[in-house]
Amino acid sequence: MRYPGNFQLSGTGEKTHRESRERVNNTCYSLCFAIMLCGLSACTKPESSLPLEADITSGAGMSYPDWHGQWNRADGSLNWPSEGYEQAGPPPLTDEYMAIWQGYTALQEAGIPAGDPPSTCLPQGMPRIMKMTYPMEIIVTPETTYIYAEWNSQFRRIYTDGRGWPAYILPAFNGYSIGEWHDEDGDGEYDMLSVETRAIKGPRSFDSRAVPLHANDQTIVLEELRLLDDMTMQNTITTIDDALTGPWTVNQNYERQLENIIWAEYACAENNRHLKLGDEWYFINENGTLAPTRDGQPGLVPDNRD
Amino acid sequence: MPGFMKYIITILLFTGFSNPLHAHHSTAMFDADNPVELTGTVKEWQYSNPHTFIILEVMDDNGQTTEWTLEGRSPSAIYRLGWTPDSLQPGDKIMLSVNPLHSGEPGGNYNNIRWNDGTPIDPQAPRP
Repeated sequence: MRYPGNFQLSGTGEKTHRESRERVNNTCYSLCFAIMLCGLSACTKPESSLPLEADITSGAGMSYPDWHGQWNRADGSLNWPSEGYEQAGPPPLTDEYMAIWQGYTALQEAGIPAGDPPSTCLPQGMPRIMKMTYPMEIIVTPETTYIYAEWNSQFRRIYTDGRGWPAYILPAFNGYSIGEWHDEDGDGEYDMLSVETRAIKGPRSFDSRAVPLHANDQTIVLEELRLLDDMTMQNTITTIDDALTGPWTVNQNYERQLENIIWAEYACAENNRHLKLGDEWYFINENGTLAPTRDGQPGLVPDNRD
Repeated sequence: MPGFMKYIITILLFTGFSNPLHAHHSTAMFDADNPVELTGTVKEWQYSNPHTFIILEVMDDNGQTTEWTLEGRSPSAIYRLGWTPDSLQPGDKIMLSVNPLHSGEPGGNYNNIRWNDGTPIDPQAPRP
C-alpha cells in the first residue's frame, strides 16, 4: 500500500507513523532472517516468529489499563471535528475536494443527502466510526484490542501481537488496524494505545455534512487513545488522505459510564426509509409510495403486481 | 425525589428524545427551516432500527385525514432514556414539531413530542 501523495507528517502522528514504518522494515528484515534460519518448509506461520516490539505476552510485569464500561462521545455535535469546527473554518480540503464538498452542500440544502453513505445504511468507516454517534465498548486483551461500536453493531480489531502488515489486505470499511501499547508515565503500566489503520474501503465521509475523503481510498488513520482522567478518554485522530492538504488531527473525547449500562441492537437495514435509486433519493412512506425528497422531483409508486 | 427534580429530569428526557440532530446520518431530506406543528392520532409506533417511526393520522379543517410517516431517534438511544415499544400506542393523541420533507409530501422527522394537551411525554410515568 502506498502513502498518499500529499503525505506530510507533523505533530503526534509523526512519531507513531515513523515508528510504524520502521516496524514494517524491521518486520521484513526479521521475516527474511527467520526464513533463512528455519528453512522454507518449517515456516508456515511467519508472524509467530516475529519479535514483539513490546514484551506484552511474556508476563514481564507490564499491565493493561482498565478501560471497561460504556464510552459515549463527550459532545453533542456530529461534525468533524466535534468542537471548534465553526471557529476553525472549513475543513482542510484540496481545491478539487473543496469543490466536491460544496457540490454536496448545495445538494443537501435542496433536500438530497448527497455524500453521506450511512444514509443508505452503509457503514461509516474509518475515521467516522470513531465519532461514536452511539456508544462504544473497549475490550483489551494482550493480542487484540476490540472496539465495539453500537452504531451498526460493529467490531474493530486492533492487533497488538506485534504482527507486521500483510502483503495484501482485503479492504474493509473499518480497515485493518495494528496497535502498540505505550507506558507514557513510566509506571510500569500501559496507558496509551497508538493505532494505525490502513486498507479502508469507501465510500466514506467524515461526517453527515458530507466532508469527503478521496475516492482512491488510500486513507491512513493514526490514533492515540489515552485517559485524561478515570472517566474521560481522548482519541487523537490524524487522518492522512489525498482529499486533504495535509494530515488532519482532531481530538475526540469520550465519557465513561460505569453504572446502569444499557446496550441495544442496531441493525440499520431493519426499517431504513431513506432510499437511493440512481442519483435520486426517496423517502419510503408507510402507504407504500416513494415520496420525493426535493422540490420538483416526481414521486414513485412501486408496481406491486405479483 | 423532589417535584422540581422530576420536572427537570422529564425536560431532559424530553429534550434528549426530541433533538433530531442525533440522527446517524444526514437530515438533508427534512426542512428544518420550515417546521410545522402537527396534532394527530397515533396509528402505529414502530420501534425499529435505524429510527423509530410514528405513523400519525392528522385531520385537517375539512375533515380530511392525512397519514404522516414521521422519523424519530434510534430505538437504542431512546431505550436508554426509558422509552419502550409500549410508550406509545395506537389511538394516542399527540402533538409534535415536524421538519417536513422538502418536497411537501407527508413525511418528516420530529421533535418536541407531547400529549395533545401540551404536556411532555414522560416514558417513565403512567400513561394518561
